[in-house]
Amino acid sequence: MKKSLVTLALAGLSILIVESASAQSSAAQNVTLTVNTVYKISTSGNPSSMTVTTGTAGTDALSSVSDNSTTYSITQNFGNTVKVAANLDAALAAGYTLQINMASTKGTSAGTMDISSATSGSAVDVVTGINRGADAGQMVTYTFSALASAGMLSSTNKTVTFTLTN
Amino acid sequence: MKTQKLYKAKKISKTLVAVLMMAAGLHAQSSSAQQSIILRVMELNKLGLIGGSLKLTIDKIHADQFAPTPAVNANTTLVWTSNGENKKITVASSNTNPKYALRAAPQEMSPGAGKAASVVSFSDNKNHDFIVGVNRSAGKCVIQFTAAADVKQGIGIDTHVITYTITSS
Repeated sequence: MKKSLVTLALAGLSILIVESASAQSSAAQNVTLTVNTVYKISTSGNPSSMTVTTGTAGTDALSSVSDNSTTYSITQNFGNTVKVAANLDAALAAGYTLQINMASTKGTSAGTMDISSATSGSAVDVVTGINRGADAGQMVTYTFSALASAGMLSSTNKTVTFTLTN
Repeated sequence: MKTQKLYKAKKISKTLVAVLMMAAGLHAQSSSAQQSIILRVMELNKLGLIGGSLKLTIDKIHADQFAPTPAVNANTTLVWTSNGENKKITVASSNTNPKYALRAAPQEMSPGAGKAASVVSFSDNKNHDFIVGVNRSAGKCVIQFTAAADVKQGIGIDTHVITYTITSS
């Protein structure tokens, strides 16, 4: 009789354990991760005004002036063929030249490029082959020059647009 | 069968979404930034002389002439640059009362850089037009100095400090 009671008790415990085990449950979620293409370019501000004030007697080309007080920064995750192109809102008149040189550690600087005639339809590549990642605080150097034969130029505001693209 | 079709449809739609996402990623995208630049060219006028001080000595005379042979020197070159309009170059001597005649003439003018005015005789210390019609140009000319004396004037020395000025016409 006593043995039967022990057996019964064990059987009851087993049922409880089975019930406890069968109470476990699971759920699944699909998590979709997406990183979109990111292109970001910014500049540190505007350069100082550039004024040609002197030249050499007997020489048509006046003494050029430069400014390297600003920088640009980029971030992109697209690939290794990204470039920066630059253009003016409108071309400069003949006899005036605006050149730009943009340093780069993630890509290849094109060196000093003439953007005097570069407009939105004819932007000039200034940095090419930019690798994925970020390149911050790279120097932008402008050089402005003029010919005496072009005459004087009253204060003229130009907008330079930098486009980061593939 | 219906379940299989539903599964296939879901798979196709998922693939389509993925392709669209990839296409969006591959599509040319760009970002831009702008800088504002102020450019200006001031009016400037520059003059320079190539050749230093010069000495003209009148020391020849032919027996059948009443006046000694003038001394000529053309070793000075005047150069200029101006981005202004209607400019002229004047010349003046510091000698208010020279004993001997001294003349200066611009020669071998750069084409299009101005026009030679008349030969200047330095008999006072006033400004005389030397080159006129300088408009947004760089040019040069040789200056030929001629010193002349009369026998009656005897021997002596004249000193001139010649000043060139580029100014508005």
